[in-house]
Amino acid sequence: MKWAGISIIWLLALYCIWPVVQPLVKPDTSAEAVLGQMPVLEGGRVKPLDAVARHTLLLIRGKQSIKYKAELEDGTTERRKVEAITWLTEVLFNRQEADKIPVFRIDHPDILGMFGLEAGTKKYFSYADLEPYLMKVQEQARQINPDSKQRNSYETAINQLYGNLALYQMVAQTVYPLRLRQSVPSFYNGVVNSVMEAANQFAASGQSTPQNLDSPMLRMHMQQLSEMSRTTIFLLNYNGEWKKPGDVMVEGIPMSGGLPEQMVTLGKLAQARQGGDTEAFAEAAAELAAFAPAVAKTGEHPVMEFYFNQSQPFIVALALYVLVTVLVFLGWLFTPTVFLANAYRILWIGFIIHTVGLVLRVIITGYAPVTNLYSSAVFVGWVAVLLSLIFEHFQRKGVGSLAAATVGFLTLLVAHHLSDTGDTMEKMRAVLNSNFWLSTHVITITMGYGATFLAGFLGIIYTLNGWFRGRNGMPKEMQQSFHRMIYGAICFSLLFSFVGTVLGGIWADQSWGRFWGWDPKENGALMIVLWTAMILHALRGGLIKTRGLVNLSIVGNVITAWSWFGTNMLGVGLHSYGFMDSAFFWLLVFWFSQFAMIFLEWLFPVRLRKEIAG
Amino acid sequence: MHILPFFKRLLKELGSLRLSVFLLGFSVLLVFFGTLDQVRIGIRQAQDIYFESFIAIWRYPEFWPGGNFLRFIPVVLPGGYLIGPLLALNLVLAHARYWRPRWSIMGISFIHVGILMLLVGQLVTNIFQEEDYMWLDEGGKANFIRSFHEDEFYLTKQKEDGRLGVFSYDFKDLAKGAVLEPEIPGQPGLFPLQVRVREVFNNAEINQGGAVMGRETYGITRGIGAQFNLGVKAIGSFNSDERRDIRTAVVDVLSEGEVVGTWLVSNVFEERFPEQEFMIDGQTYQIGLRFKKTYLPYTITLLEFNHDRYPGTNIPSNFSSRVRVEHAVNGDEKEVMIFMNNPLRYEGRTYYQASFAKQDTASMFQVVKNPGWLVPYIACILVSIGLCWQFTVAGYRMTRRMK
Repeated sequence: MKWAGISIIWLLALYCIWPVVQPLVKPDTSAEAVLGQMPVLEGGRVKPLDAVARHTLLLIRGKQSIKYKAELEDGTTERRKVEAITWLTEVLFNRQEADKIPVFRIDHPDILGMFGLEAGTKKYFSYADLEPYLMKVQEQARQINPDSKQRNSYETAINQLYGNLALYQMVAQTVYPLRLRQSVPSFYNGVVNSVMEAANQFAASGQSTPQNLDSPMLRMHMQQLSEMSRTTIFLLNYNGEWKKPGDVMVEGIPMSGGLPEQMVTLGKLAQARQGGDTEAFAEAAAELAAFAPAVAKTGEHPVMEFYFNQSQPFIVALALYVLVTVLVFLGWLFTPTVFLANAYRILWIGFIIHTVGLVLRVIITGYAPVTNLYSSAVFVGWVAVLLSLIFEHFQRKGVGSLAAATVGFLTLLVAHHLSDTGDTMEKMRAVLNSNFWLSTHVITITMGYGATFLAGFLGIIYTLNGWFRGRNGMPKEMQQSFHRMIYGAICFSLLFSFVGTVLGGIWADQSWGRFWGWDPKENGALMIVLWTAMILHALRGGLIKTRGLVNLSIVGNVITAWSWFGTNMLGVGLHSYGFMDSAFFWLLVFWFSQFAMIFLEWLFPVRLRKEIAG
Repeated sequence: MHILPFFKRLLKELGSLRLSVFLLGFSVLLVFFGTLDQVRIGIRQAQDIYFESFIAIWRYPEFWPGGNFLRFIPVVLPGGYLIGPLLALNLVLAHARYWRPRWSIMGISFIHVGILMLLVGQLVTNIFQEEDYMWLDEGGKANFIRSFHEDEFYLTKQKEDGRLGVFSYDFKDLAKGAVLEPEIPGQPGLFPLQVRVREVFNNAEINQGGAVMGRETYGITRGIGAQFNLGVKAIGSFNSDERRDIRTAVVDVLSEGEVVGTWLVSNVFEERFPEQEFMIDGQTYQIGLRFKKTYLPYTITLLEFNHDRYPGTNIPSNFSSRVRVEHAVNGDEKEVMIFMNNPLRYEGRTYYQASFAKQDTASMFQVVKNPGWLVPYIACILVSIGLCWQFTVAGYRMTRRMK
């Protein structure tokens, strides 16, 4: 019975871990995977095409893959799951198919009404569905309030839809222009002829401006090439520089007198994809990938990023933390020896995967681990888990494991939702482009957040645990161990919050010439410092005991959430880099839950067992 | 007769941990409500009302849920000027009371000395910090900086040796009715005239069309004010970081007791009009009000400005200015790069890369003079040592107890 339980636990754990291991033991060798690992330049940095696919899809659809019901030609439907890179491959090389995949999410009833649909009937639309309404959407998008803060929900939604359609069109024209009525290779050859003809005319007339070039063919080709150059993806590496395919043709044809090799390969890819020739496509994909510069030389890590995106280590860690939470509860209810010991081991595995994810991020981005709100959430969780592991190491009661798992789970969940905005490994703007300050100020302040949250969640666990024991009361020894853990976390929090805040001031002094400017984010950090300092002074002065410590620590959660997210929502000051409307709702929910916790503890105090058990 | 026991009691209370806890708690509330109000009134004004005042009152915003009646309940808080000094006093007294020469609590002294240094350092900064700026075009040079907040009244005159004679008078010291005798030390008689201040406006609205809509012309007879028939009205401060108050004055120029004319001077004229000039005895003088200009004993030349972007995007990766500093007095000459997070510290002033214009060919530096700039660095080190010390001691005890 006992061994059966343990086997089930570890089977579950292995199931959670599998996505991290799979790409290593069973690498994907499909043509899409080859393209997916190919480095391209986008958003100012070199990344695998797979990452571009994921971020574009995230922006448009809000997910990294697509599940939909495809309507087949014989009238039946089929459930399909499309990975981001497969989708992007279709968008680039086989647009007729891509246009049928429902990727545009529309929720707003007024927009659905514009398309003659009732709310709730359909959520995702394909480009082909929306094409008849393009003019209408554009017209509506032109009329919205230019000030993004004063837009209503309809205006925000229509603006977003318009932006997504524009993004889709831009990406879709990377390899060949919209409304192309011939095959891609013959289009490329046509362009070669036009460009060469123009070059000959220049040479003959001795003029440098194309004013007397009245060939309608050339004009059309020039128009199409300029449309292709609107893409954000620098797909090709041509003569050692990152270029868009359209620009490769403009620059390369006059130089070499023919179609550059890369473009020949692109033509082959498109033809094979559109003709359904899998073998030819795989061959051409390998050919295209071979043009990419040697990875070792560039200092970029597209293959590692490909693995990182495929394995999603933070999601794996999140799943493991959920498992640990369940196991600890089971341990407290039934047999501690089985559940708690294994929970502790699984927690370690989760923490290691969490750590590996962080390390990979650092290597890929070349920055310190925290560069934006998303990565701060990942790091806050990591710090809290690390501290709780230390606590659990000294006292195997499951308290540390539970705190680690809940904070880890919640922060990774928050991070997951913050990643909807696309690339989370973006390049840093000029002021922030300093690894020294990113790795000192930002790291210490985030560690402070992590520790304060840990203290608060230990407080919540204390209260829950106390209620759970009901009339029997919590043993004195247990209460003391909670007291020590929360006290430790608060000390840790004060140290790092203070140092982080002052380092922030010094950074501000270095870049703007002022140490302190009452910026909302600075104020938020100061509030954590003052609050934790207050708790320590109150303890020292004997004004509070364990119960006060617990409840003040829970208030610490409120303050930290404010400092971390609330201040960004104000839209004031230098740190307002991540304004979020929907997040405000969740902040209020969180605040309410924390105060409710304190209020309930006041109504139903945790009882303590007078005599020490045993 | 009961003074002494009362005094003792007061001292005890002022140095008590209970007071520390209350003050810290109130400062959390103060910072929170102050931050919240920044949305309504901006950072600068919130700073005045909450952090640089003795009592602050927060009101529930009307447009929040339930605001119709909740807005009548004021939240009264002790302001920053009340909490700050009290905390400092509390800290000193508590130390006097609890301090013992023991290794295990050595860190606490470090922490509190550091905190005290931070508070005092911030006070020093508030009082002595000067913030100026310098705009340079590529290839251009300057030996002066302009103030962000201060203005000055000035008179200038081309001297016989080809140099410029400058008399300046801080706007904040201009008083209605005062008569200025423009004297420059060592150069007596350069300005053989007097200036009588008729009106001073801390912020003004200036428009064409004379005395209409509450505006007055104040009997201006010469210069831009007379030429365009300008009317002036006093208005309240903009209280803004982005918009400077329009400091304005009306002055008479007197020569040997006779009024030469009445001028309108304002800090908004410099960008829009040529300088106002007048002649006395065949000598030309310039008169005006401008953003305070401070002359430096050295010249800075902008050799090159660079605005680097990440490839294929418009995201800036760096802004940098290559400048040459030439010191006229001690002959010092050097070339320096100023870029983000890497200012130039020179002769007590610090030059920060702050802005750019003219298609990346002009660069602006923020210039800060802050005699207390090193204090936070030292304070931070002290507090960090203290905290690490204390928590190591506590951690050691805790792990021993846990085992």
